[in-house]
Amino acid sequence: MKPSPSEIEARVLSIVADALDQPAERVALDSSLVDDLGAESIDFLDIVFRLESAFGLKIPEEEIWQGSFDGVGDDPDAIAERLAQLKARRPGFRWDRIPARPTRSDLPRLITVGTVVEYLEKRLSEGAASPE
Amino acid sequence: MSARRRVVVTGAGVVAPAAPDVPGLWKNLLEGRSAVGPIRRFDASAFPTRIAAEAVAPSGGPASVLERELGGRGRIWDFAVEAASQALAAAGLAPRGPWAASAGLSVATGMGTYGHAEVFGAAAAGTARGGFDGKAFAEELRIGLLPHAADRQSPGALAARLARAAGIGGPLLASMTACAGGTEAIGDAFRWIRRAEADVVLAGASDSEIYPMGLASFCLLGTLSRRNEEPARASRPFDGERDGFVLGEGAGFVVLEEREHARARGADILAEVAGFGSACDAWRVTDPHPEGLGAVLAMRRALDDALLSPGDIGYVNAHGTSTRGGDRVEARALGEVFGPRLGGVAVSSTKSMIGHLTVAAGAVEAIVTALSLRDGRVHPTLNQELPDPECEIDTVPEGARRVALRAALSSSFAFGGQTACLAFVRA
Amino acid sequence: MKERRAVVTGLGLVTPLGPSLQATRSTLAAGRSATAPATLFDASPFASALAGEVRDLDARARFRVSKALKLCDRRTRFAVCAAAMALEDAHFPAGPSDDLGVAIGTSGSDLGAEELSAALARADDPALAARDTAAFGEAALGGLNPLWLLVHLPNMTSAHVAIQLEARGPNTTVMTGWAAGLAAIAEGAAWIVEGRADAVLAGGADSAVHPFAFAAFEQEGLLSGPSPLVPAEGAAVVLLEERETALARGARILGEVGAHSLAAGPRLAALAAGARPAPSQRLERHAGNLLAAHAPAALVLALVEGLSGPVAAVAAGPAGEASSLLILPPDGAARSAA
Repeated sequence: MKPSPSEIEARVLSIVADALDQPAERVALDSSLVDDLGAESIDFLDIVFRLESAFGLKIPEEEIWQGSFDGVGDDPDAIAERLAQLKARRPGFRWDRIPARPTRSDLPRLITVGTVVEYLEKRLSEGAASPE
Repeated sequence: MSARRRVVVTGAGVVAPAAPDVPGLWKNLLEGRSAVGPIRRFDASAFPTRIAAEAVAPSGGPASVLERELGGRGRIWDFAVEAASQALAAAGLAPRGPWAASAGLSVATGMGTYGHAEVFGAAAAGTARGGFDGKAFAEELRIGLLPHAADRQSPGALAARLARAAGIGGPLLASMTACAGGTEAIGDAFRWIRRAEADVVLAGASDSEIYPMGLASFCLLGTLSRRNEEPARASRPFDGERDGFVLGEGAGFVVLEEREHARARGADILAEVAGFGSACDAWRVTDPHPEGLGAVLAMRRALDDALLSPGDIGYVNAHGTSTRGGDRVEARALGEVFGPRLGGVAVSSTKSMIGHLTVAAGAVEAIVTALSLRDGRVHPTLNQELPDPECEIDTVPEGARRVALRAALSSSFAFGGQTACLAFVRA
Repeated sequence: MKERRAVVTGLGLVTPLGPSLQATRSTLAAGRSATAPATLFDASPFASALAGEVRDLDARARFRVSKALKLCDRRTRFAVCAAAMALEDAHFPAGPSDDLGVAIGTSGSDLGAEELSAALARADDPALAARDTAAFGEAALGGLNPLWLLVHLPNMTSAHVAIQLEARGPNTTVMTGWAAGLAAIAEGAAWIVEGRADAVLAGGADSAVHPFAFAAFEQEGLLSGPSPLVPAEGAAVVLLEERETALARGARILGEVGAHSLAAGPRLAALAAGARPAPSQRLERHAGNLLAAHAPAALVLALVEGLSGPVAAVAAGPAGEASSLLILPPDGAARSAA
């Protein structure tokens, strides 16, 4: 049975807190995995693995992160434009920490707990989950 | 203050992808030939990366003297025995000869050799009844254990047994700083000779991760190129379209010798080892320090140790794995060390042609660097098609190049942040 | 240039007898033994199930960046804790240092029986994965923790020590079998004498309480007979410093590194002659064999009691690897400064 949005959120918060060894109260939807919670590249691999196990999904590498930047490529203007769109959608995020002209390597910093929850809600509503 | 003892390379041996010896490897590199192809050793169809640079240990030849005692323990040992034998033969030193009793051995190897069924037969038994059954795992492992398990599990055993087979009775060291290991093994040998712990040291490294579990573990870390349809174009260090490294395998060994000792016996001298430096990023587990701090420290320490300045260096044999992040950081570190002189330094990556030999990479690449100094030629970096503005270095894209070289560096950097660099000068 | 000398200024120890130097000494003084049938895994299939296991170690308390704990196997946790203890014991200033090196010796690796089984558990036919690499590929790529390699790579032991203690000096993982830990101390001392580092955390860390090690030992016949090998685990790390630097900061000097050898045979014996041996055999009777950490642990136990004369530590392994080290009492100048 598909988990409810609050169940998804609770599980994700718990997995992220566990993988990044952070106390629960430090992990909020708007928390940047990198800037607020100290994630490095391998932590993203770890989190994906734990999500796959917890939700019975196969999560193709990178798909969970590309969401915000699908099709944008390396063009700085395209990145800046997409950034403006995201800012409008996510007012609670700490945009002041992101450079005005970010490059591709800055993008992982935009990934939040909320990014992950949104992705899972989308996948699970597509009926892609297998029973646990 | 007494004059510093100087250290030279009097012999070298390799087993490398598509090359069973040093002349074969050097020829391939100068001709810009890629040794990368589809994996043939096992069925890799279920893996996201299905390409590698496989090597074959030749049979017969100088290794037969040593292999009797060291055979039956897997490919890593076979590569080591062959490369070490070639190095000794090139140096004109017979195993168990009079030189050996006071000579040293410095080796770096991978994390051990296991049979696939040996390990996964046990793993399957451990899961047969649902949950984890540790007793069944242990029982199956006991029963399925292949011979020489203690030797295969301990990298140090290769060093000890090789020393004994060759009659080497001086200092013995086995180390394993992962991808920096090969460089370090030669650096440690160099240090022994410089401080008179030995006059002759056999030094090198051997490794292979091209087996199902090895391939799986690197695939899972997301570090391997997936350009399966075009294997020869997959390894493209510093190029804008790089997407990860390609596994290679093999071994490289050198004979290092105190310079006067070598000259007195009329040995051929390939190049001189002038300095060694090493460090640790102490930053993250796999992400390199963004400024390449560990790499900068290793290179600067090697230069200082060699009493050289960046302006003396005409060639750097880079670590250059072809990963997005690693190459970018290395380019940054080179910029920091060389400053405005960077444009005058040729930088090529051997990994562009033979892949990443993991622990053995540093040893094979040190030999390539020595050959460059001997011949005044540097090999190209293959697959330089799209410049990366974050990697503005001269990667010798056009093909092998003649360079009047006086001194060169060979660098290696590891997961975990360990870094190592050797400085060579023309003999 | 004045000759540089390497001295010992700090000690850290984790053994089956106790998760610290103090606890280990108390248990030894009380004559208690810590060897018992293994609990870390089911060793009943083997000829001997006796092991020496570390208990009650609060590794978290010693990890500056606790996120790394998930990547640290037992020997790495022991190494970080023992290294942190050595720095604390020496009152060494905390914080990043380009001149602090790390040299740790260890022997084989535990590959993680439970993780490997879990990787195959989801396959329809786990036994097929043991024979068929395509089946294996599917199982492993879906079911194995992607961080597996990082947990079990031996060089990560000294890497984690460097990360946690912010040490950017030279860094190596020595793997000359049971001789590795002592060899690491010898290497660390050499770095100091050569001017490559001013301080080095050096020693051994190992854990042989897992099925891979037991299976190999049994194959060698080491687990049979009246006095079988008792595989154990632990870590022993010393802080080495350049002598003038140590004196200048008012460090207490426990001893000075004298001759050392990475060779077997006559050089080994000559080195040890006339010196008090470190209590390796006593340690083994009570705690089992700590492998690469054993000789360093015995050395630490000898040093903590104060030296009136030289002490020799010797390590030798089954494949013929060997290392030996002589520690001299601190000389007059060092003693009066302490």
